[in-house]
Amino acid sequence: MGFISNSSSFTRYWVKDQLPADYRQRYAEQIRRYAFREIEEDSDLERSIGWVNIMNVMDNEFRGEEFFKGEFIALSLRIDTRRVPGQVLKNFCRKAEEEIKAEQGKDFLSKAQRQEIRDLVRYKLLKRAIPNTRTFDMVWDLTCGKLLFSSTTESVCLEFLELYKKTFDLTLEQLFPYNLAQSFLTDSQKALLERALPTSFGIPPEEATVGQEGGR
Amino acid sequence: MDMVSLVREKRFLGREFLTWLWFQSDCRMGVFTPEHGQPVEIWLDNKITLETDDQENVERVICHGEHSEMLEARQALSQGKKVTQASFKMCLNDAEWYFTLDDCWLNFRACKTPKVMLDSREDPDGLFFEKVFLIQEVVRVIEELFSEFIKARLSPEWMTVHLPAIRNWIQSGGEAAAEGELD
Repeated sequence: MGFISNSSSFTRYWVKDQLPADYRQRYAEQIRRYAFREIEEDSDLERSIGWVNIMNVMDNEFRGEEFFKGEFIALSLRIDTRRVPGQVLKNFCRKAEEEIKAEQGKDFLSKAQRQEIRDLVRYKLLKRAIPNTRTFDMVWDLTCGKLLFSSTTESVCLEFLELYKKTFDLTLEQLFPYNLAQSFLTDSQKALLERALPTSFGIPPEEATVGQEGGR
Repeated sequence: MDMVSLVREKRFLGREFLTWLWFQSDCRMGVFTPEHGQPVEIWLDNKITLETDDQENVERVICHGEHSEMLEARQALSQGKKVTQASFKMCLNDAEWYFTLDDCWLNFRACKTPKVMLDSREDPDGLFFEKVFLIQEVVRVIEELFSEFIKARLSPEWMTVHLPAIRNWIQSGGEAAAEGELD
């Protein structure tokens, strides 16, 4: 679910590098280069991934550079996947094998023949499969270098990081409590943070003070 | 140290922040005044998850409830379990946000912003800017409160003032839960 929907889950990142001086022109080219491409009907591809307009999942052309929105770059990552369910493939393969065995008057087929049948059946079924489309939004605030991505699923975040790197050639660092804390602490506070140990809330105070320094 | 190890090692900061936020909300009647912002209300909202620290054999307690007291959850805290997820409600300028925070990354899950009345066909950019503003607002408030927490956590008063107060609060909740069971 993206940011425009009623409810969203998201991961936060920092862009660690400086924007290039010609970022508008460069990024416009790169975003178009890595825009989403529909899976062709005759293709045997199982998935396709790329950028689309955050306000329109079917727009992958960006004629009006819609990804620049004020101080933001906003895009959706679109991932289309089409699959042939394993059991369906197995059933169709068995049927095809039986037909060929009957045609050729054979009791058995070689391993190579069976693999050939399997590839052909898979290709035919794949062409009939309707892709499953998922989109995840990215909103990048260019003024502060903070970026929100509308997924908390690790595998999706990894795909996003890969495409982001290819497109913008910049490094992202995911926010978590420790690096977020570092961003607003002085050097002496950072040293305390480095040495901080977990607090035990459950142990009675008189016992807890032994071996618990609370970061000091 | 690689990123994953660092995240794992420092995970306790997120757990302690969620506990602190719940405690502070209970003590301040939900009202927080961030350093650079206007007063905001944060309430624990219906659901909290606690886990044991044991990596091999995790015991998980999920508490649902209408009230922020969550006595059973506080009893679990008193037994040494740690808050790993908590749902909150934020009220600011007569508008409400609902969201769940996790301990590991402080990611926002199921974040519901106030309803935006703009139409995506008539004014798509207006809708975009409004939604992004509302999401940034809740992120900003939580980051400011996290900043307040971490400064308290690293101060000498953590051991002498904050921690005893949190322990008393946990203990009072745990005792109340135990009394409830006896009744």
